[in-house]
Amino acid sequence: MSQSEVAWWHFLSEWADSLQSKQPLKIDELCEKYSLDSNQVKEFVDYFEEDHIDLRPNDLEVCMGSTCRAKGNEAIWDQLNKANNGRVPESQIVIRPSLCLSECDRAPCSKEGSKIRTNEDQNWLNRILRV
Amino acid sequence: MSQTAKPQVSFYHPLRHVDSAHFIDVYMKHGGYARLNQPQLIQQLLTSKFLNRNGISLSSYWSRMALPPTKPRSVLVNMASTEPGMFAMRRMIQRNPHGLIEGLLLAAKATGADQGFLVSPIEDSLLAQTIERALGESHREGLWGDTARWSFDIQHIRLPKSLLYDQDSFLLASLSGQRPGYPHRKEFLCAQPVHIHRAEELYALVAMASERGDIFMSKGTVNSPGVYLITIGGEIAKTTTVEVPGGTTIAEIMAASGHDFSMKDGWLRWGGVLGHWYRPDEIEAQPFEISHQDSFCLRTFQYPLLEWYSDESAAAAKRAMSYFAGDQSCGACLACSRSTTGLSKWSQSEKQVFSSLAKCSFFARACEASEGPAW
Repeated sequence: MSQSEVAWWHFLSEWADSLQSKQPLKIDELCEKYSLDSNQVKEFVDYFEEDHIDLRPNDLEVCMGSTCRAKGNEAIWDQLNKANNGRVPESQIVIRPSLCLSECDRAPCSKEGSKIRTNEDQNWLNRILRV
Repeated sequence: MSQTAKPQVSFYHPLRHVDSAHFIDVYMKHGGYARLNQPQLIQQLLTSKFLNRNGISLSSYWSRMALPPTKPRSVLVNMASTEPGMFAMRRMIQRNPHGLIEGLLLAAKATGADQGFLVSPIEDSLLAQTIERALGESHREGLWGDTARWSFDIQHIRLPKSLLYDQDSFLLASLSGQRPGYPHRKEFLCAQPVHIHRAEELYALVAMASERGDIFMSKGTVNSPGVYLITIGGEIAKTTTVEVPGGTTIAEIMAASGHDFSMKDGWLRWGGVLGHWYRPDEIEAQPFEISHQDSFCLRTFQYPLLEWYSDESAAAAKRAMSYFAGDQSCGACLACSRSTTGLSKWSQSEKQVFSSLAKCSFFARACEASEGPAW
């Protein structure tokens, strides 16, 4: 196989590890180590950057996939945003839409920090709306 | 005294009721990997009429590149092209990872491949750990790699999740370090021709190679032989996955979901988030046939997902489609770069103008998916 393909796959592996470990990716060092074009690598990482923004423990991502929307996540999105807007700015949380979280058989689902919340556990929603 | 009903045996996950079947010792104890070295079985797979995701028989797909058998080639499993609602394959791989690897080895033996690639999404670390564990176990058993008696190696590569990878050329571009949207012009990886499969096709190979393989292929019709996995979702109470012989009617497939609803109202969507909308009574009597000339043929960016929605939730599903299409479009052409804001507002003539500018079929699918229920 070509050396450039192998180098690229090594980079993808390191990128995956940095996402999981939450360590910053040292792009310049990687480019030098694997003889990669730094512009190409930076463009690639920037292209997917928004998909991998870390959530703080209280931040929320609400799944906007078809099944979750059909089973009530649009209403949940409205409820959460309304409750959040009623808080003082210092205690507001980040609420973002998300693409499918692949838990369609337990829809509607959302992500609170690193935890997936599904239809099996609706207490989380009441807790957030109550505060 | 009533007899306990025997659980129905699945073709795609025959060890569903066996504890710890995701470990190789249990998997092999129940017949896993047992038939890899049977030449007549491999010949049988090579002439199989089972249809792949494009509605083409495996035998046609594998023989489309007329290369001498001595030339190297590879097999690739595309698990990075994930689509909303297709959680079922992720569950299948977590519970039966060795089925996936056995299917890959069967495909490799049938096609004479030297190299196998498993492409999984970077975001799914749990899936990656499962795959790595299963690869380690199968390698230690001497089933592939430097410890095996045949020349076949497997690489596990992780890519960011993207629907665009459903188009083979985009997937191959990304694997070569190019951004999706600047497609390859050839189906080559590492300078070798490559066969690209989805995970469910490999599980089907294992089913065909099993002792019940003849039963598996005897089901279905001449146009769609065998049994196919369909996920049933949408607004039904319990999203589920069923095994469906070709030729089963849509009404029977929906009845298999166990959901009690009327086929007289609401909407059915076939193909996933970029699928086609139907009124249930239009298609309830139609047989499920996925060969390329039939109405339920799956085109690029479409998945075997049948969803039912009420009129109200169909509008929510369309909004989900519009949001998803905008996020996943690569922006390489004017059509896709405008697709987020346009789908719910454009007239038919505007969509046709943009369609003529589109560089791939993604925009055409998104336009078709915007028909049907009201927004």
